[in-house]
Amino acid sequence: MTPTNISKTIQSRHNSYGIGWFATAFIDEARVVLQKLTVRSTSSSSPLPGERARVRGLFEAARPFEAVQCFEYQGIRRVIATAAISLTVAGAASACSVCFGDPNDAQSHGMNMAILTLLGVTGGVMTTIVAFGTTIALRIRRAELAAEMGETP
Amino acid sequence: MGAIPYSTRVRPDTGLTNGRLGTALFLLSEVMFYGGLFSAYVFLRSSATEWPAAGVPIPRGMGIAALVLQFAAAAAVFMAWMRIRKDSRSSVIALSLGTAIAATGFIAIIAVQQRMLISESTVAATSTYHAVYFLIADIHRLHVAVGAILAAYMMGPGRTLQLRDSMAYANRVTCIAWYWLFLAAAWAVTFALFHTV
Repeated sequence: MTPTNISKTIQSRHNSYGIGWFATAFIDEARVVLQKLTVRSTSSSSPLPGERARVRGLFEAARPFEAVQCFEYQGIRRVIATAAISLTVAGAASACSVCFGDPNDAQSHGMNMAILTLLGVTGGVMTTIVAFGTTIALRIRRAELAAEMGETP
Repeated sequence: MGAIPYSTRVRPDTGLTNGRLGTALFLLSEVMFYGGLFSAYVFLRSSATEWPAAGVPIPRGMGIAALVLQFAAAAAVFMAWMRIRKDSRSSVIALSLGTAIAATGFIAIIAVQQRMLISESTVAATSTYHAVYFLIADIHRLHVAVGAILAAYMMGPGRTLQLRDSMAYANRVTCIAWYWLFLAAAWAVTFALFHTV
């Protein structure tokens, strides 16, 4: 399987978002590493002879993602790393009672009242806009009726 | 005037000129803006264990004086609007001057009020009560300053427009009057929230 095909396979699997998404990502990563190692070990076209070529081959094999330009896969790795960091430092996230959902807390009460206030303001503005549109529609209908009857609106 | 239709004449179906429609939309956005500020006030007040916060209270007497000046400015520009609608343009300049003076007085009173609070080591960081008051008062003061500039336009550069195109000038006076009426309503709500409720 060529690196391009591997990339397409990863892309198709990621698009599915099925069960075992992360497991599939890890399996694909291992497959890419093995593919690169196999290519390096069987290749004899290196211009550098001897020990120097062998060391350079190992370095390149250790960077499979840069070699195949698999950007989607790098995104997966970032997600996994972020999840791992979040789980590790979860104790530092001191969420307030609003996030924890305590309905009797004063902050929860204040948040509810603030939401109601803003809803009232937004509702008033939306009602004004709807009333304006309705008024225009009525005026247009009145003007059309007047035009049909030959009157000046 | 100009090639844009309904810039001075009223459009028959909407009953509005372009400027009035734009002003109405602008004021609706301002309602949302002030609504966000008042919503923050409600949130902080409802979740506070002590309200108003301990410390130096906001001087009520100066608040009342600011409210009176705010209403005086709005009333003057409202009267100018009424005079313009009745084609009585003689006293518009005097009323605009009154609006500008009242607006300047409002700005000065709020500045003195805040200076008094600061001199007694009461700043926005003292409590959420003072923080939300400083925020709303300063934002409103900025709006009043814009209104004062508009009033100055009515009695200054706007006069040449009045001589050239009286209908366009009347439209602008209408828009400015709407803006000032909104400011008066917004400050009335602010006063009620901080001094009476």
